[in-house]
Amino acid sequence: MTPRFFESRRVLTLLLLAALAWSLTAVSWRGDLIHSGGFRAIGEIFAAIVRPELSADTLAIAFRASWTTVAYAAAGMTLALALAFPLGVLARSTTHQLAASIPARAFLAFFRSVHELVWAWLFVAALGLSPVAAVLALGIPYGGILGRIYAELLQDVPQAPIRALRTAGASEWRIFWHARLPMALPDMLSYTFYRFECAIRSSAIMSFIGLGGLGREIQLSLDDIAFGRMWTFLYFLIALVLIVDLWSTAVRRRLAP
Amino acid sequence: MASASSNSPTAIQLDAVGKSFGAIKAVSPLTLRIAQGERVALLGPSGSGKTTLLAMIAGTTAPTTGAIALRGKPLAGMRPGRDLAALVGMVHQQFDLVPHLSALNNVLAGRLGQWSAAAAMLSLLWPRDKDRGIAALERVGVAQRAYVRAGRLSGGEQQRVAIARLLLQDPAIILADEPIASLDPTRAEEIIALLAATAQETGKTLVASIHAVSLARRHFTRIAGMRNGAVQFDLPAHQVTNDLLDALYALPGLRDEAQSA
Amino acid sequence: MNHAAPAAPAPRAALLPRLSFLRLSLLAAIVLCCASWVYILNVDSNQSHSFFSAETWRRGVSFLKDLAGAGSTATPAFAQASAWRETGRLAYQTLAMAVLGIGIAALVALATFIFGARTLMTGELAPYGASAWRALYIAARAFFTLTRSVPELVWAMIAVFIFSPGILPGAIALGIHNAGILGKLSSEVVEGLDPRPMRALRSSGAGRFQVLLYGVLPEALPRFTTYLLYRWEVIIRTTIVVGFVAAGGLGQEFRLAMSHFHYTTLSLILIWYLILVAAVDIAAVLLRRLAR
Repeated sequence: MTPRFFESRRVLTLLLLAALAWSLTAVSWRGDLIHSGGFRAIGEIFAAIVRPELSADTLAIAFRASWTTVAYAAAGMTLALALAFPLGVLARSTTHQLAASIPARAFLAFFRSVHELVWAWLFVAALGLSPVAAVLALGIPYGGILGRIYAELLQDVPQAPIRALRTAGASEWRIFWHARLPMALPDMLSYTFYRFECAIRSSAIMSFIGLGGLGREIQLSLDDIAFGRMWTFLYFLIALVLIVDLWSTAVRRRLAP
Repeated sequence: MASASSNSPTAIQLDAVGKSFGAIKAVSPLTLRIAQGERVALLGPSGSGKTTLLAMIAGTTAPTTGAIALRGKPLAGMRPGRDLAALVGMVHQQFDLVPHLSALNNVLAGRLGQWSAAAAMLSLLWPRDKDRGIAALERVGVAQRAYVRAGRLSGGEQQRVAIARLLLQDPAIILADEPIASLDPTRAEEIIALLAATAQETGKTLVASIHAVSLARRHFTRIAGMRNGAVQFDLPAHQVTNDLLDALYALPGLRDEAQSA
Repeated sequence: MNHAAPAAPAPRAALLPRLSFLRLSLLAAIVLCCASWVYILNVDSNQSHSFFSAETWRRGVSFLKDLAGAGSTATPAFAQASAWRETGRLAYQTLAMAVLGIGIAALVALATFIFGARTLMTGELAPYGASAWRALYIAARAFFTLTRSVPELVWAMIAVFIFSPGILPGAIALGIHNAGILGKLSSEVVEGLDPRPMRALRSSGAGRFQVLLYGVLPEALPRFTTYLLYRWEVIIRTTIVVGFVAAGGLGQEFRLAMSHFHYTTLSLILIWYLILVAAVDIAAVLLRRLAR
């Protein structure tokens, strides 16, 4: 019964604080951290929060850009699903199919290790500027993340019904379709909807490499130093994310047991 | 026993205290006096109003009608805080403890009413009043578990730690709401004996709702039987007969049959 | 009679709209996906060459050859020790940017997440004078929504208007976005906490701030740390992207290599990127074990 001062959670806290201190040393703390016009820019950006530009032209552009952003996100998600489902099914670690699960997991890990915008830039540099490149770039890392989560969810279902079926002589394939998948499906759908919300944000920044959408309009507004217009587009982006968030919350609430 | 306790000062005084939730009457207006040092067991089937009655005495639920006074002080209008904590403390079925805090810090939390915010914060790192906390844990028999997280203790150990917290809080009246509901019989008797002994040694008043009749008879001075929000009997423990208990717990249908027979 | 109001039996009719909302959602999702593909393929067919053509294949193969350094007489960057050292320094900067970013996010989220927990701000555990606290709750939630809805890259674009290019604007952009995510998640953790230990503390004389110290933080912080480490894995992947505009670390070099067609340098940057990602994934797993 000694007080354990160096308990694991305290060690972790100390490690994290040390890491933060180390990261501060990497910043070059000179006088010009904020550049000459910086303070004025802060003021103008904040002042523009309450004065978004709402002219008919801007709004028309915003609606069109919102659709482009949603379209990339939705198409990217379909591709992600097409990748994630088969790979996720293969990647779950049951002793039966180690030969299939290891390569499947390696693919999923590789897909999700690279950020969607890096994929996008590589695709555009390699294959030319096309919206399909953006969809691929979005679908691949999202497929990697979804696949990993699907594999975990399919693995973590209650084991009792599965053992019962197995004792009754059902094949692994039947067990999958009749027990494993139905039990994991609500959680899988919940997570997919949550990811769609993330896909909206990711899709918005695809514009950075020359594709349309809200991100492109935000960038153009910043190039014109038109903070009011920038906030208009930011509000559209926030609204999109909120709508999808509300939708996915509503779906998740109904899927919850 | 009842005659002895009537000489002691009043610990709990209920005057026509009742509680309704909308149209549902949880406790019918009842008047009750409990003297300092008495140990009262509340018996009765689930849903008989024991929990509501205890919550009203603890000041966490306001009665719909009537008035409660603890040691002569009216309870109405008292906010949770140091003054109320000095009067009355409560042990629940479980879940009194913070799972991620050590047993010791959970016990010391009984002193929070006396501490400043800064002292409370520091105590999380360097436990304050540690000797008293350890002594309380020793008294309830789990001192060797002082630095284990409460969530990792067994159900019986958790109840012991909750009682140790009461020792530090040091209220005049101890309330226990089904303190042994989730324990095995041996553990249950140990906990009840511990509560009763604690109350007896320090001259505190104890009111506990339990289901185990034999424990009530062995460890309490007075037994009140509740059914459908009303007190059916209220007698010194040794005067409670098996017939009274049978009637208390009988299912409505069965009781009618018994009466007609 | 117990004090709890009797639970009304769920009306059978409630089952029907439940199913139909989900069906409608599924239908809407399918329609949305189909419409998106139609739109995208339509735009694609208006490009100079369609994505689904032999030209795409030819370009892809030649890009991979460029990355491998084939067809060029110069020594590829990934075969030069000096290039490894130079990009290694940038990888170090990238890691620092990611850590600083998550640090900023953690500090901001820690300072605000209590205010975003409905149960503490408006419920039975709420302080008296609830309307001011309610306003704080709404402000905190609005802050989380604003910061997390806007991606890191956009925050970085805005940050370079204020800060000199380097690690700091990138870290701040990462910090703002992730503060919103961490704040929202942690507020929800607090809302999901068992209120019984908090009530017990309250009834044993603890003040509201002390309930926060003893009842809320010990339960919420371990979960917070777990989320923090999960976000760190995401952030290390995003840091390179923020570097595109904030001009720090591997991101800036990636951008330069792209615009100067230094494809073997690009390969080297990607190798460092994958090393960083793998290292952080492993470190996060190890650190999460400590959090348990």
